[in-house]
Amino acid sequence: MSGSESTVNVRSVSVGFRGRPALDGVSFVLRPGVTGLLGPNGAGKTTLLRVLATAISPDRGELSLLGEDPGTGPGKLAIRRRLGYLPQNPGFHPGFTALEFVDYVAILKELTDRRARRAEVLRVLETVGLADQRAKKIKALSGGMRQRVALAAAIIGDPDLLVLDEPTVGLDPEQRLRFRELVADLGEGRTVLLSTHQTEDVSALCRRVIVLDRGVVKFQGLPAELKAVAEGRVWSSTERDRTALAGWRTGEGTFRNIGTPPQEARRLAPTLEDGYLLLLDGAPAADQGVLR
Amino acid sequence: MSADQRGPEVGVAGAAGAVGAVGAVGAEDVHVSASRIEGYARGALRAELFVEVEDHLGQCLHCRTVLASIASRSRTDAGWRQLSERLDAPSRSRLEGLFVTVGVPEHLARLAMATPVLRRSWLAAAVTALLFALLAARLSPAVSATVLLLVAPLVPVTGVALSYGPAADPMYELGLVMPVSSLRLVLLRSATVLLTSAVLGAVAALAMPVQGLALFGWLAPSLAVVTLALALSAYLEAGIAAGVAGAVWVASVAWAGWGSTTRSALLTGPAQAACVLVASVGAGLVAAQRHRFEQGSWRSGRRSTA
Repeated sequence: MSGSESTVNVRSVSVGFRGRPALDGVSFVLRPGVTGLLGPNGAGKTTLLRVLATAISPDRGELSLLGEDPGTGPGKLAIRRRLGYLPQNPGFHPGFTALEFVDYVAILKELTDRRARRAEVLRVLETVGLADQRAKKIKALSGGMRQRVALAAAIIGDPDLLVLDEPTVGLDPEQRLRFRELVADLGEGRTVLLSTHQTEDVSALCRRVIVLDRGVVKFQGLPAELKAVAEGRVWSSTERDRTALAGWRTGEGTFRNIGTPPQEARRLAPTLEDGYLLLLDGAPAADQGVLR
Repeated sequence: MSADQRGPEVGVAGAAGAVGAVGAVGAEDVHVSASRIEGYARGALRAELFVEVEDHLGQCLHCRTVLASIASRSRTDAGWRQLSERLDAPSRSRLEGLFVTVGVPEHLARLAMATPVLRRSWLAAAVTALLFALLAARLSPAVSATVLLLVAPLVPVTGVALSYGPAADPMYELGLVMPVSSLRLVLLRSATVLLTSAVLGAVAALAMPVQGLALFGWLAPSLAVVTLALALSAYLEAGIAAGVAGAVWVASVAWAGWGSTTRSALLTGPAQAACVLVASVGAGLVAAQRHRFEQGSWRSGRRSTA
């Protein structure tokens, strides 16, 4: 674990919608580098990211972002000046080109000087590899390019905290790889929280991982520690094993099972996904010493 | 007429069928005029012409020699920079361009106009509504003042409803977390809508058979209805808030005597003062509830959340 100081401190944060808790006593810290946020649909990931992006104030709990209190006006403004946010569905004005979209966001980030703004807009478009596509209408760009445009907007002003909500959804493998490279580069020297459904993204990118389920943090630690949750609990069989928590036929024709293996079972090396699935299925992760 | 506005301009003769800045025939047969090369070096040409001259220079030793004789490298580089800036300048709608022309800072004009509805659909709807009002007034001059009074405030409140909020603004969520406050954005767009509506309303009023207070008696109600909608939108979805404010206005006009051949009770001094009072109270409420504009409307359950 990095010894660097925490940049985000979340303590016992709760958020409810019409009496239903979306986040329930969530606590964790973030440090510079990329942290992955895993969780099933409805786990509260987007709500948590909106809280960290200052779009929602928590009902209870304490929050410190980049050393500032988002509960105060000056604190919120100071955070927003150093924040980059990529929402799950970044909306685009239909008539905007890539350059116009990023330019518009640059204005919202208080870059009012035209020359300085232009230089910054070109810099971020260059960073995401879209400088040559800047004059194209966003609606004419591919899904991967649109995500890169949205990422370009998020990194305007070189933010210290970057909050990315499922940026790799809908991307093909090549686009996802390109996106990972970008996020890995951006994680150098700044705090990045990456919400994702893809355990591969976490394996490839993240220094730490948080698992959220039904508004509660079920795990936070190193990816290797999450993988260790499934140590000794993954096995192969020639027939479907009904005692397994989950099992699926692999390309080789055998079944890969997770759960409590039979005595004679042939154990397999676990993956991060195995650990994640077991954790969500109520695996006693605390026994592994990694539930924080 | 400036050099870059003139038509085909070739130096050396013999270019039958020449088009654009240089001839369409072999580049070596036709040359760009010295004044145009000078314009190129200064960056004073239109973007398309600049590119065309640039193309020609790449192929024509003669013109490159002329360029070298009249322009320093630094001036040519400056020209390139200017061209590049022009090519990269975000395009503006006519209305946005008009705001910039009358002195509105370009970044504010962009913020005000970035909502799609302000660009076309609302403008078209506003003009249509006022044209119908004009037509009704022409057909029945006795109710002109009431028709204008009814329609004019509904135009801006519709525009305001369509210029912000999660349903109208595709960049709503992104806008929420920016240093430029959401309330500032809302007020800027509302002011733009009000101003545009006022101009359209004034044109309609002047074309109608109305006079006296009826000419501009819809201005204070417009302000009151818009401000009421803004105040309500601290609690309700922008569209619902505008609907409520609009309904209150329609009811008020009906209450004051719809179709009356005499002047509407709303076109009296006390009624106008009441409108100003409503606008002031609405503005006070907006100021008091400004923090609500800085929070996503998901909290009230109006939008689903993950």
